[in-house]
Amino acid sequence: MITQLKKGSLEICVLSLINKKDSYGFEIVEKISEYIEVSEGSIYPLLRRLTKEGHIQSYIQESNEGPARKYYSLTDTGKEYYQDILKQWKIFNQNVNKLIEANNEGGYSDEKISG
Amino acid sequence: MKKSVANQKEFLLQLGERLIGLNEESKKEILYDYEEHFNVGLSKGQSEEEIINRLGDPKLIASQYKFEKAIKQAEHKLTVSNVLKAILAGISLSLFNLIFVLGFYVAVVATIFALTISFVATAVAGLAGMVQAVLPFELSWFHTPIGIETLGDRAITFIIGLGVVILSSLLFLLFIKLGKLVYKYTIKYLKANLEIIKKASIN
Repeated sequence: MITQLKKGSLEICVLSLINKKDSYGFEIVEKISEYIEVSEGSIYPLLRRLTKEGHIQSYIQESNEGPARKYYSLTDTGKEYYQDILKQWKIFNQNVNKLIEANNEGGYSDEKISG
Repeated sequence: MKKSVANQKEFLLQLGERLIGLNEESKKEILYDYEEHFNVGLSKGQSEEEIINRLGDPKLIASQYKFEKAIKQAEHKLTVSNVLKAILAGISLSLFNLIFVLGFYVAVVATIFALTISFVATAVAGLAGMVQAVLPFELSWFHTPIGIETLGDRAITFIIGLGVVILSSLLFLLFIKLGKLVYKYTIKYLKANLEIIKKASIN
């Protein structure tokens, strides 16, 4: 079950990082694995797919301190897409929590947040 | 757990080897990402071993890229073979277990195919019968049930041969049509399921 949850959430995790600031692969991988246990190798195929879908783009930036890095940034469509799935995620998250809480307390809540 | 990848070079090699079906440019781009990953990791003080352990199995990683490619291919050109390739790539990622259904489907298709071919063989046999009926000698490799001693026998042999040819040809044509129908509905079915496959892959 947790594998499926991870699969669905990885995309939004990656996009939220890139949305905050342009990031390179290694730091995206590092940041995410701080929070979730993932095979870090599965993140690059995701980045590639997001690039092909036009949600993110990349540029190479030289660095004095280390090797050159490929930075990812959100495209305009990517920003829209991110906001869209972010909204869906929040609603979904809230509804799941509400349902769980209601069932654990023994009552049933009809308050579903629609969207 | 058995350590299958010893170092960065081997990791990249195994990954590269398994990126079958992708063009050279794609392979380069993909390998670049992991090369950079190693370079950055090493520059931050991580060991090759640590980086490799955290990246995971290069074979599994390659499967993911192959799957994405197969999906793209199937979307671009919707053929049975493309969608089947996508399914197989998905199975390798344990995304879904269609082995059972696929096995049954393959058996059905194989049976149709085998029968279609057998009708050709039967038609040839009928034709041989017709030929034997008019030949003055007996063919060594072909034996007619009735024989060709009398003219009556020959006539019967000829008619039976003709009948077999006609029947086999009709069945052949019927099965060709059946095959086309199976193909048509396979495409429809797979098209409907392509969306499901895509959704199952979202990571």
